[in-house]
Amino acid sequence: MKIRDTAGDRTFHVVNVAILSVFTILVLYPLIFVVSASFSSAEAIANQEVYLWPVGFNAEAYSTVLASPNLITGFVNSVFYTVVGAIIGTVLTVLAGYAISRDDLPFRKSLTFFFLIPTLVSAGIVPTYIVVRQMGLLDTRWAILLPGAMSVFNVIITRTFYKMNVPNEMLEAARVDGASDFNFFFRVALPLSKPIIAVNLLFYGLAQWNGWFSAFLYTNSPDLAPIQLVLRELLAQSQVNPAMIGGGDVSEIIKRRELFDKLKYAMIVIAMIPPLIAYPFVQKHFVKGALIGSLK
Amino acid sequence: MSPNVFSSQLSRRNLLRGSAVGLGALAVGPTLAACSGGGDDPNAPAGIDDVPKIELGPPRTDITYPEGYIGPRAHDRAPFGDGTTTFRVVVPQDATNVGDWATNATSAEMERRTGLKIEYVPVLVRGTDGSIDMTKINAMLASGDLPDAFLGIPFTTAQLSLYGQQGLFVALDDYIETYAPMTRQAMAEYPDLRGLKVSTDNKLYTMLGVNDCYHCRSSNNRAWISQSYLDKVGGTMPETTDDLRELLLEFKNQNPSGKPGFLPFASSESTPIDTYFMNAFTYNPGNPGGNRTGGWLRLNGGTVEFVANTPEWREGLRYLHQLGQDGTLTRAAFSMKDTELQQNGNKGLVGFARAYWWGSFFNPINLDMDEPWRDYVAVPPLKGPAGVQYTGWDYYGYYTDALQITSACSNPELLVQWTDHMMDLEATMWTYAGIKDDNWSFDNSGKGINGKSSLFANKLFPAPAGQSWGQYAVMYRSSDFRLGEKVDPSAPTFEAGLYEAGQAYEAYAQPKEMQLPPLIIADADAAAVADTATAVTAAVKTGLAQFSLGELDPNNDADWQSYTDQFTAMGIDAYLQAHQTAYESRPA
Repeated sequence: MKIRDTAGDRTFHVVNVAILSVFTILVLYPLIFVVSASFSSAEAIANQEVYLWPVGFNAEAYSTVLASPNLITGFVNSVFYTVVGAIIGTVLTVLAGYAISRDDLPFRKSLTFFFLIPTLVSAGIVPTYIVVRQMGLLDTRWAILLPGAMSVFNVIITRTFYKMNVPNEMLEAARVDGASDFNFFFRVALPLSKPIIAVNLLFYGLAQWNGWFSAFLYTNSPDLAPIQLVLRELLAQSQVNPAMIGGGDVSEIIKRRELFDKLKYAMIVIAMIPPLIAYPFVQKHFVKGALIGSLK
Repeated sequence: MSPNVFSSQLSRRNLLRGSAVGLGALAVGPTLAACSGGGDDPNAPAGIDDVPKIELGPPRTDITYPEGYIGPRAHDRAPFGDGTTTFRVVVPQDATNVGDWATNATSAEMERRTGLKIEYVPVLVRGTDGSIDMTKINAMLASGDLPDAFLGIPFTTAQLSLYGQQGLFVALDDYIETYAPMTRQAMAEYPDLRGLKVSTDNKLYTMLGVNDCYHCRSSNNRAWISQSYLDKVGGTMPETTDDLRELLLEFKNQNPSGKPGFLPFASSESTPIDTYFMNAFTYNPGNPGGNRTGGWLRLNGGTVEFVANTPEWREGLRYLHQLGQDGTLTRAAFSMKDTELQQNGNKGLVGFARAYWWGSFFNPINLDMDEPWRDYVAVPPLKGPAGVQYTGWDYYGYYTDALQITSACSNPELLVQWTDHMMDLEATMWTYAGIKDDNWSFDNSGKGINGKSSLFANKLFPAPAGQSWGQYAVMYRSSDFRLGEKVDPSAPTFEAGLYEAGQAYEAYAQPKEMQLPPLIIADADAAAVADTATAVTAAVKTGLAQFSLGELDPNNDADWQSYTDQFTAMGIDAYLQAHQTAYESRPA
């Protein structure tokens, strides 16, 4: 026999569903709008006629994107930087975070402080540019991957995670069984750190996917540009005010403005797809990894 | 990079190391001298010693020029580079118009014409709001990562002056004297040109380009009115400030569009309205922009003066206050976003617009004959109650960003010649319009924009990506050249329409002696002047809106007093003095 909900339960459910629905709409509407706008005509967007569904349905924006070599190159580059950057960053972070989480590491406090120095004083653009230049990294993919490959914030989270989840007792137990430090790390600590690895991969991957500044500063070749830099250029050129440049030909300005108006929503859609795909797989680790690790 | 260029950088590095330990400077002396250029008397460039001066031959005879034509001509000039040296040139990144500089059709054409091999280094120099962003250029300069030259990079004259005197850029007067006949011709035909770019030490650290856009000289002062709405309310083109006030009231009361949300007067936040209205009360240059001299400054018999606290300005504010009381000038004119203005234009809600051009209030916009923008005509300057009728005419706006050669360059004379070849008529056409005969051709069969016989015809402009250099080349686009573009009477282009609009204003241009030319503020004052300029700009803009919208009353002496007092508090006197000094000490 089915037990009927009490009036209080029912009210709770109604309120609950209502609040969650509002929340869902708040999150979902911008996504639907962007997708709809990307399939709408430029006129409809310019006149703000798009509210929910596409107006003047067409896929011209996407065919323009597919016909633009720099946008395709940018997308492929971004995928590369995201994957490689996430792996490099995660490897470094896990190694550093594990090491400084161990109580028996000599000079542990000093090492941790050493890692913190760059977060307190950062050198600025010109000195880092000189370092990158003198290491011969200018205009290479390494200039985008290596500077800032490891984030101290992530190291601290990872260290805390290990302190919580790989306690000293575990290490002692492994020692009794005759495990060396390397054995312990690879056979005990690492298998326990899937959540923090997932979180690190996501953080580093997302930072690379959204990043444009390193590419802007350290590379010149258009073949190396990530999608965000390509988009940034498109946006910058479309915003040039004719009054600001003496002697500009207005038809050039319109050409840039029209291209941007046509592409902007399609580009947002394309730029948000990979993170949208990645999130659900990583999200479940978030609770165990970043949240617990960072709070305690 | 070629061995040649590389060795020069090595020797410079040696020099730095050498001077630190007091050794080695002598060995590299000659290399340096060759790069920095000689000449003790900058007023009369001596040219490069022992090199015969290059002169232009007779122009090509296959091109017919309009009568009285002043500007670039086409010459047969032999390539001078042998391809052994590759020069690194930093250029602006622009995927939409230039595409990939390395494979661009004009890049290939320039190599064919000059024989010079160039490695282009594209750099993004615009922020996301379209403003100039020199972050990367500054990092390159500060870290010593110098290319051979910068092309089309928006350095201010103050930066040119600073970097030039620091030895980063090469002084070019002597090179131009010897190697650059087309540049010399442009300097002779535009006598002010050198003065617009010269540094405070009276040396020129940049090549000179000209892009003399006729309509841009009045572009900050233009206003537009819908002819059909004007006819609908039975009005005539306003000639005086009172006419305009009446007309705006008619617009407001009759709403000729018949739609809700009609704007009798429209403008946007990025568009100053004082440049149009105040010139009916006194000559007002407005605030022409970031990298120029400070705003609302003009010359009065050689004295720099500030316009926005004069009694005439107050008269102008009284007029705007009236418009505000009438309800025809509303808050929207000061706060509307550019895109909102375009949406209103698209919907036919704009009666009278203070705007740069039609594209400011229509988007998208195209050249079809039945497009609504063609209904909007330029409103000539208004005559004020005291009979004042000016338009702020820019006599100095025609220079371009051109090209700067750095101290890392081992053969500046080759880049100087490269630049000079770029200013040839045919090369100028290539750089701005792309592939000859596909996109453009020489054509004297029709009428140009200015009504004289045409010089060239554009078939496809702007050129598709990968064909032209956009507007980044060192061009010689004189006014006659630009206006020599053939007009198809059945489908006039924007440029043709803007020329007509510009003509409505030229008759009212202020005398040239009243415009403050671009100045370089001395380093010692630069920071203070920049601070004051920011404060003054904010105060004038705020004051304009507050007086117009009735938050302050221009008829109330206390309001006016507190408005003018704030400029004194900002240090307007020192600000004016700094400009006066810069004006008087500028190299003639």
